[in-house]
Parts: sequence; structure tokens; C-alpha cells
Amino acid sequence: MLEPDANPSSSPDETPLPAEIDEYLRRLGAGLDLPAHVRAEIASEIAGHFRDSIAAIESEGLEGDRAAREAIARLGNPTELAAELISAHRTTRRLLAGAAGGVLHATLGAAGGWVLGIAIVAAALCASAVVTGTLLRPPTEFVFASLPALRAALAGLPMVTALLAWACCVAAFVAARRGVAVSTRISRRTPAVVRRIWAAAGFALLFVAAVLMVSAPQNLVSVLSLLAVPFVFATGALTSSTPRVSLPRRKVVAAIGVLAILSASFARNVPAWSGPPPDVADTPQAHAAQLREFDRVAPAWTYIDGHPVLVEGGGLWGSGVITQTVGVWDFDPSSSGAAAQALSQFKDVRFEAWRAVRFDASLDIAEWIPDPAYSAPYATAPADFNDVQFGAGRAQAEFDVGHVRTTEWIVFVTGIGPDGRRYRLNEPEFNMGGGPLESSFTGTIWQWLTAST
Amino acid sequence: MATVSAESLAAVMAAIGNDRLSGYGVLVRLGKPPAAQGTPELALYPTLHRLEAVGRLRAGWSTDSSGRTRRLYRRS
Repeated sequence: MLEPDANPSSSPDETPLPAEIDEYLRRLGAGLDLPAHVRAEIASEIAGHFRDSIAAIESEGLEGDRAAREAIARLGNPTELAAELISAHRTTRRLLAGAAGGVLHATLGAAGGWVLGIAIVAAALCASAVVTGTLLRPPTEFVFASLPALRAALAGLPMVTALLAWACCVAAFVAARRGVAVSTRISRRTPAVVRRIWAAAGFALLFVAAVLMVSAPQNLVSVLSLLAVPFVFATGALTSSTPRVSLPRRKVVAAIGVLAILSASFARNVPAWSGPPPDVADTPQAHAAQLREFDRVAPAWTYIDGHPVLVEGGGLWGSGVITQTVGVWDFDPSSSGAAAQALSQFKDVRFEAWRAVRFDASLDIAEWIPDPAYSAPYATAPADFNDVQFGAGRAQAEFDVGHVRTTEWIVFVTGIGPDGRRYRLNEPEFNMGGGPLESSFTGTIWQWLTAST
Repeated sequence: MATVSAESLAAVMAAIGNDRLSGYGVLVRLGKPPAAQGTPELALYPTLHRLEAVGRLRAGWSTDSSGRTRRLYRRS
């Protein structure tokens, strides 16, 4: 019965062959630059040929070693036979089929790897939350307090990009290994060559896609995460023949269990953490220092008892657009108050979006101030207090800041006063006491690299 | 390096006919000495594998009653 997929190695072993034949098969195998399963099939087939050939020669009168040598002489040089067999196997048809099959299976592998990657990232997030929220809570908060830039980098929309990129890394690794395996099997090309081709082609394709095509919220963490995808793909392709690393499952489960128990028990005894320094000035001295920084934008105009003319009316932030609303301090539709009368004296009243930086006034006090590196706002927008859309005595402005790398902003309102000088009319209070307006860069890695700060 | 001529390919296909033959079976059917038939023994297996690669032959493993395993070829 013809069994196209039968494995010759699964059949009962044949009688031993003479040493000369074994040596011939060894030299033949050494010259066969083909996948291992094909080499094994050819070796079995040629071994069977020798059994038949030796039996026929012995029936002609030659015995033992002489029959074996005659069989070898008839079949010819093993190196030349190997070269002919390689040529016979490496057809263009198999090359194309190998490429197509490899791409198909890589795609399927990527889909499965994506699901696996999401599961791994989700599990890692949960584990991280448990560990950093209990056992490692003090050092974690200390690190975040000492490195506010790290805390900012691990928050917001760009972190979502990074998490998805990590899942993509898993998908790329699985896809590369499946693609190489299938391409090698079908095309009959040398595994080392197939691995290099897949690694180079996949790296180039994914690198271009990651740098020039994938548009998403970005920061340094997300950029590095996305750039890791092509490298992981190449690694998966080049190591596709490496035996799979088997995890000692029982030990992993036991370690997770011990970690959970330790975390739970330690959590009861973790000393209370006073938390990072507040983002807003909460002492008179710090507040005064902050106001001096605000005055670099424009000197404050106050109408009574140090009150600004305008107060904040809310804001939206977190994406590529920040929105700020302000309202007249004492606006009354029936009778304009002193603040409203003061505002009416100003011309060219406008919103100004300034880049913000964190300024540590002391060990305990941190402030957000306009970035001293800039002497002008990033953008301005007219303040219209008569727009019914926002309500009487209120004005709102939107700034598209999604294409600059700066992610922290302070919005001021200024106007030209009766003396012809520009004054600051509001005192940013920082939304919900949590810091400045925050935005996230949205675009490709290339746009992020070439964007202004 | 030996080359496989169109005549050799045709000779192998004709030798197989509608049967299922091992490489040695094809050789026997071609007659001895093989070189006289235009299919040297060295070129036999490359020829069979080439015909399989282009889809004109199908190959599979078969075990006979004595336990011998052979790779058999037949027309597609």
C-alpha cells in the first residue's frame, strides 16, 4: 500500500548493512544539504536499494564484501549522488510553495501568538500589580517619587501602545518560528539559509512598519517596545531550530503561590507610605515661589485681595488635545462684578499654552511651572467670553499638542491692559490637584523621533 | 555532475507504467546494464525525486510481509 506520509523510521529495523554501505550512507548524508527529515528518507531509500542490489549481486555469484563493493560501484560516488539529489529537490515550484506556506503559517502563528501575548501581558500586569502593591510597595513608590519621569513614562496612553507592542513581540516570535519551519520543510532549502532569509525579510518589513506606519500614542517606552518587535522576530527566525525550552510547570506554579502568600502576609505589615511629594504647592512659601515662576509669563493682574480676574472652569487632557476652560471670577449675568469690569479693560485676551516642568521646591514640595527653557508659549488661542457655546462669562480653548514630545502643559490667559502691557489674568490651579494638563504624542516612531520637544 | 535528459525521464515513466515500484524495481525493469538504457544508476534516484518534485510521480513508504520497508513510486 502506498503511504505518502508514512515515516520510514517507524518501520521495523532491517538487517544490518555491511560497513562499506554504512560508510557510503554516512558520506551521502554528509553531502545532503537538505532538511533532516528529507535526509532520513533518502538514507532509508538508498539503504533499501543496497539491500536489493546486494541480494541480486549475490545471486550472480559474488559474496560478502565483494557484493557490497560491487553494489557501491554500480550506484556511483556518494558525493555526486548527493549533489544530484539536492538539485532534484530544490525546484522553483517547491521554493514558491515554501514561501507561500511559510507566510500562511506565519500568519496563523501570529494570530495565535497575539492571543498568547495578550494573555502573558495581562498575567504579568496582574502579577506586577500584586507585587508592587504589597511586597514591593515601599521601594516602588520610592523609585517613582525619586524618578517622576519614570512614573510619567509608565502611565497614560503610550503605555497602552507599549503593552500591545509586548504582545506583538510574542506574536512575532511565534510567527517567525512557524514560518521558518514550514518554509524549510516545503522548500527543501537549507534551514540555515531559510532562517537567515526569514530573519532579514521579516526584520526589514516589521522595522519599516514599526517606524513609518504604526501611528499610536508614543513615548520613549512605547518607541523602544515597538522597535523590539522586529528584533524579536529575527531572533525567533534565527533560533527556530533550537529545542523548545520547557518550563518546570510545578516549580512555576509553586513559586507563584509562595509569592502570593508572601505578598498577602507582608502587606499586613507594610508601613504606611507617605506618598510622593504633592504635585501642587501646598505651603505659602512654595506657592509664592510658584507664582514668581508664573510671572515670567506675564505679571499678574489682580482686582482685589490678590484674586485673579479669571478662575479655572475645567479642562480635558490625556490625548493629543488639551482643553482649558476659564470663567470670570465674579461674573453675574444681572450685574457685572469687579472682575468682569476689570476684564473689560483688556484687549487681545488670549489663552497661552506653555510647556510645563516639575520644580522641586523642597524635599516635600513639588511644583509645576512654565518650562524656563522657553520664553514664549507653544501656542495661543483667542479667549472669547461672549461665546454662548461655553456659557456667559466663560471661554474655552483647545490646543492640538499631539505632535510634540512635550506631554505636560500649563495654560494661562493673558491680555493687554490699560497701560499697554500684557498681564496674566488667571492662576492655574492644576486640574483636580493632580498636576498640569497632560497630553500624549500620537504618530509613528519616525514622527516621534523627528518631532520637536 | 550527471544530467538527466528528457529521454531518461520518459524512460523512467515508461518503466513505472501503472505499477508501484521501488527505485531498484525501476532499475530492474529498465534492464541491465542501466547505462545502456540511457539511465545510469547514479541518475536513477535524482530522476525519480525530480519527477516527484514536479508532480509527475507520487512516492510513499510501504512495508511488505517480510518487514522490509521500501519507498514506492507511482504515476500521479
